[in-house]
Formats: sequence, structure tokens, C-alpha cells
Amino acid sequence: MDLIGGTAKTASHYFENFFIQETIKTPLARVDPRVKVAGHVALVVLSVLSWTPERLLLLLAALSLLLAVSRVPPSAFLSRIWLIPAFTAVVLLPHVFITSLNYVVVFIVRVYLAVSFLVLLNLTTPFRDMLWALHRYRIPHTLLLIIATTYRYLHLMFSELNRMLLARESRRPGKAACRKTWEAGGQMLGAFFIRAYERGERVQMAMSARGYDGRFILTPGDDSRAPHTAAFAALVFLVSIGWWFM
Amino acid sequence: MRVVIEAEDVAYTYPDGTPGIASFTGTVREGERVILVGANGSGKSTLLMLFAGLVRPSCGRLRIFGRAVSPRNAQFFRRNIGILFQNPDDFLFNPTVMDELLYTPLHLGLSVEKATRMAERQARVFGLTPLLSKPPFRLSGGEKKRVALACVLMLKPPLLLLDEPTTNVDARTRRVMLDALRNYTGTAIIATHETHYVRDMADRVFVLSQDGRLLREGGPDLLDDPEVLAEAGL
Repeated sequence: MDLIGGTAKTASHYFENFFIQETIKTPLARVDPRVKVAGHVALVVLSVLSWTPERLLLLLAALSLLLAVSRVPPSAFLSRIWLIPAFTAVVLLPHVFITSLNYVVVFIVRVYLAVSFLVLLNLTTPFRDMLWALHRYRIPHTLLLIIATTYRYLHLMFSELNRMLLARESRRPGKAACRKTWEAGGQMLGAFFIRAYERGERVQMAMSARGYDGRFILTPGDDSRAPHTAAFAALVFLVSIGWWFM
Repeated sequence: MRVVIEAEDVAYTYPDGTPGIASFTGTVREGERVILVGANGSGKSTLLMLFAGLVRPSCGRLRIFGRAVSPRNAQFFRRNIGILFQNPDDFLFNPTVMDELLYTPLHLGLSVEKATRMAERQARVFGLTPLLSKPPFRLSGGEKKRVALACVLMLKPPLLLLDEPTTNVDARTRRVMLDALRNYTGTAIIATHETHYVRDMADRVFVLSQDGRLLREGGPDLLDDPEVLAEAGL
């Protein structure tokens, strides 16, 4: 497989699975989605505001505890977080010589923490619960509808792209010249956009057929439990207090 | 019996100029089971979209339940017409199977409690209970079709339009779908290539020509006429 095909295939696999929640019934999945969203946002804010090793260690401890409680498979977690901290490390590499190694390490750990808390939220919250929590926080309906549609069709778009890449691979006898590869890549991308657009039209028609009238109706999940919610809220509260006094 | 669909020289051309259906004249009466056959590209899916009131004819006269296709009748059509798309990936767009089942009842104003009760019952009938919390795009092709049909039949619409319901499904799914069709008591129009599965339920057959015209109309024995089938490109 050539460079374009290989990159497109890797990227589509990565993004196809990035937003897919695991449906494991973990204690963290039992936390009320509203509290979970607010708690994780608080932890992300604390992460990006932390510049001292003590504070970062406290947040790393909180993350470890949540990961242990969540029982998210390490492979699922690592496959989702590695890219952004790795990219940050590459971008910050010159800063080892400009500022200091300490600055670079602290920066990467902050990014790692922020991304990890968001990924943990994503992995332990069914999408409908996440939307419902955002709805309860009065996020505009239009925005929620865009998020819901994007989430739904990211998977379809990337699986469509994967199918196109496989079809192309199966019909290509050998390695093509670089120019030909670029041309074919461009044509494939064009075809992909047209297919995505046509699918969008069909989906809009299906929505109309099923009664869509511009409203976005959300129903709450019924998995949350008060003790789990209270325990999570207490953890976030204690971490925040500890962080403040450090 | 009351006329459900009344079409007079109905034609539809897509916005890019592609002809969808060239000319269709016919009526469908209440309680009838009609099979729509034709070669690929003959306009079967387009005709179902027209009958569902999802697109307006480019020309001709089309009345569904005595009403013209217009935005002011949209709510009425949604309550009374169920349409199953050929590709369930176009049809299913909610985060979970449960949300799919709740979608139409909630949009038509049913309470969450009532809609949930109906959805749970429908899930049992179609064997979807273990799948309720799963995202539809993670299901197999057959499961997706079952979910889609369960959604369509939730509110027992008086007019049911099915686009290739038995295509690309396993034997179990096909059985579930055919049972659901046999138990359905309203008017049904089924566009299909696999006529042998549904011909025993059919009252009438519409054969479309390759250029999108109504070639012949008659009883199920029309499906045994090699001349008609050859003329239709089948």
C-alpha cells in the first residue's frame, strides 16, 4: 500500500474507533452524567492550570484511581490518548534547548492529563447520556444536533473510506508511479466527498420519513446510581481542595 | 374500498437532471398488498419516496389518503406512512437501538413512558432486547434491517412502504421480517427483486420498465410471464 493509502487507512481506523464508547457497566458508568461531565471538566481545568510537580502528581493519582475504578481496558485507553501527547512532545522538542527539560516534561504531562480525563469521560459515558448532560447544561439544541449527527456519521464516513481503500487495493495490480498515486488519491477523495454528501441527503430524507420536525428530543439514561455519583463528586471535591492548598 | 394512493401520470426528475420515474399511473386501495418490480434503476425506490410524500412529483397528480404532497400535510403523512429504506445505514442515525425505537413516537408527541413501553414490546417481538443499548452502526446487516423494520412498524402505520426488505439478510431475519409482514393488516407496497418470498402475500403487481414507466399491472401471475419480465429487463 502506498503512502497516501496507508496514511488514510491508519487515520480512518484511528478515528473510527476514537469516539466509540465501550459499553462496560463500570462503577464510573453509574455516575450521573451531569456530575460526571462537570467533574471531568473541573479535572481538565485543574490539569491545564497546574505547573508544579505536586499538583500534577495529585492529578495523576486521581487519574490512576479513576482508571482503576473504571476498569477500562488499558489498550482501549492507550490507543486513544497516545497521539496528542506524542504530537505535543514533537512540537515542544526544541524547547528543551530554548527553555528547559523541566518545562517540556511538565507541559507534556499537563496535556496527557487533560486528554486522559476527556478520554475517560468519553469511554465511560454512553453518547446519549453525554448529550443529555449537555442538554441539561443548556447547550443550544442546534449544537447538540450537530454533535449527534457528527458522532453518528464519523463512523459511517470512515467505514466508507475504509471500504473505498480496500476496493482500490483489491483492484490495483502493483505499485504505481508517484504521480499516478497522487492523481488516484485525489480522485478517491473527491469520490469520497460525493458519497458522503449523497449519504447526507438520504439520511435527511430518512429523518423526515421518521417524523423529524426540527426538534431534538433527548431522553435520560437510567444507569446512574446515587452512591457512585456521590463518591465521584467527593473525589473531585477532595482533589480540588488539595490542589488549591498545594 | 377507500383509495389510499392515486397517481396520474406522475413523474419525478432529480435536481441533477437524472430521471427518477418517467410516468406512473395507478391506484392502490386500502388493505391491498402490492409488489413493485423492475430492473435496477427503473425507479422503484423513487416511486416509494413519492408515495411516502418525501418528494413532490415533478409533474402529474399524486394524492395519498386523498391529500396532495405538500409540507402542510407532512405531519399527517408521518403518522400514517411507514417507509423502510433499502440501506439501513441511511435509516438508523441515533446513538442506540433504544433511541431508534423511541425516535418517531417521541417526535409524534407520545410521552416518554408510553413510548418506552411500546419500544420494549417491539424489541421483544423483533428479538432486539439484548441490542437495546448498542449503537446501530455496530450491528450486523440483518440486525440493522430488523431494527429498521421494528421502528417502521412501531406505530402500526396504515400504509407501509418497503424497499427491498429481504435483501442481504440471513434466514432468521428474513423469517422475522416476513412474519411481521404477514401479521401487518394495513396497505403495503413492497419493492423487491426477491419476489418469491412475498408473492404469496401479494394482491397485485406493478411492473416498471427500464425507462421508469408502468409497463404492466395485474395479479401475482404476472410474475410468471416471461415476456413481461423480459420486457422489464428482469
